Amino acid sequence: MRSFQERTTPRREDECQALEEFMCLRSAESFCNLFRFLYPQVRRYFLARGINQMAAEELAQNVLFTVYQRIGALLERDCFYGWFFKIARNEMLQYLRQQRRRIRIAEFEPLTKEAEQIRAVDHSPLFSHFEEWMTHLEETEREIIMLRFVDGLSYEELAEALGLPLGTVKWRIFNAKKKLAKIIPVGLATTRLSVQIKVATAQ
Amino acid sequence: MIHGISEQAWIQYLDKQLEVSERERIEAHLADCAECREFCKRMARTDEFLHRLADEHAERFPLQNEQLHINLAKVLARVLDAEAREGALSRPAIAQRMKYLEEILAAMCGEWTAVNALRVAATSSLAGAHEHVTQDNWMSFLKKLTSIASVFCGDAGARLLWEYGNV
Repeated sequence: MRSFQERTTPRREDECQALEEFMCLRSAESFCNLFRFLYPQVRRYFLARGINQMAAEELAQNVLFTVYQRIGALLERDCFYGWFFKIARNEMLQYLRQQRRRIRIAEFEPLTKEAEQIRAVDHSPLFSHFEEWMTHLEETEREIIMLRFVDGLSYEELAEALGLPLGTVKWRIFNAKKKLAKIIPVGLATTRLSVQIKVATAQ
Repeated sequence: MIHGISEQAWIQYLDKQLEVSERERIEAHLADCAECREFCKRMARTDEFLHRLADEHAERFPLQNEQLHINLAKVLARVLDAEAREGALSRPAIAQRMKYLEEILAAMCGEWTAVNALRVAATSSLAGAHEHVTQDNWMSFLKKLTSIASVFCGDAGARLLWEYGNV
């Protein structure tokens, strides 16, 4: 079993180097280099939370623009990813608030064809099961589990992103996992999960 | 508390962060308690599942190089636009404000004193130099200038300068 202190997947060395460079130089060149690592992550963050592709790209651009503008305010490199996902989270909350207001005005708006297609393509068996299991968690637990295991933040980065004490972060993850432990089928263990789920579903 | 073991201890045990004596206590309990053994097994399985989920998530929502470059170009265009706007608006505006304050000060205590008061205020403020005064360090500069002006022009003159500087 891996230590919980680590990230779920270690960051690539060239990504760390690009971040180091950008934090030192704050130049457009170093930003371009870092952009190719950060943009896919933040775009995935929005898409995984059900935001349509066009909006996800726009929100991801906003996040990266903010990073470029405000990097000077960040003193420690270790705080970067917590700070980065905090910006993404704020962008998403603001977007959702605007959407809710818009939906209230329009009363009801069906999913666009494009959004439906993306959703259909994205629905791998693994993630559709995961989404179903996540409905058993509270909103705060869902958010922390997504950030930890889908976006791969460490405990410290989570504390920074959510503005919570480290102990609360650990406790919330533990509780959420206790709930998931009761739901996740026993058979899922070693090989690629989506393959296993496909087989299990076929049976 | 589960079977005399606190949640804090379970968290640390599952994280492999528990000190040896406490870990041995939990392991001794696990040897005797099938319920806790099952709990640990399930938690480890869940953890394993969630870690695999992260690995597979990296392959979701693929992004073409072309898309990446288009988005980078859009962000850079915004950056350049913001920088150009800031430069076009704030720098001349700051220079104009400083000239204005210099004229007011010169009317009260002479041109030479006014020029030097502005220079000293800029040097001793967060700006560090006359040419580095910006919107961000304006208040620091203005405070220094007001305090210098109170020596030469009295409190009324300093207040006047403060109010004009704040406009």
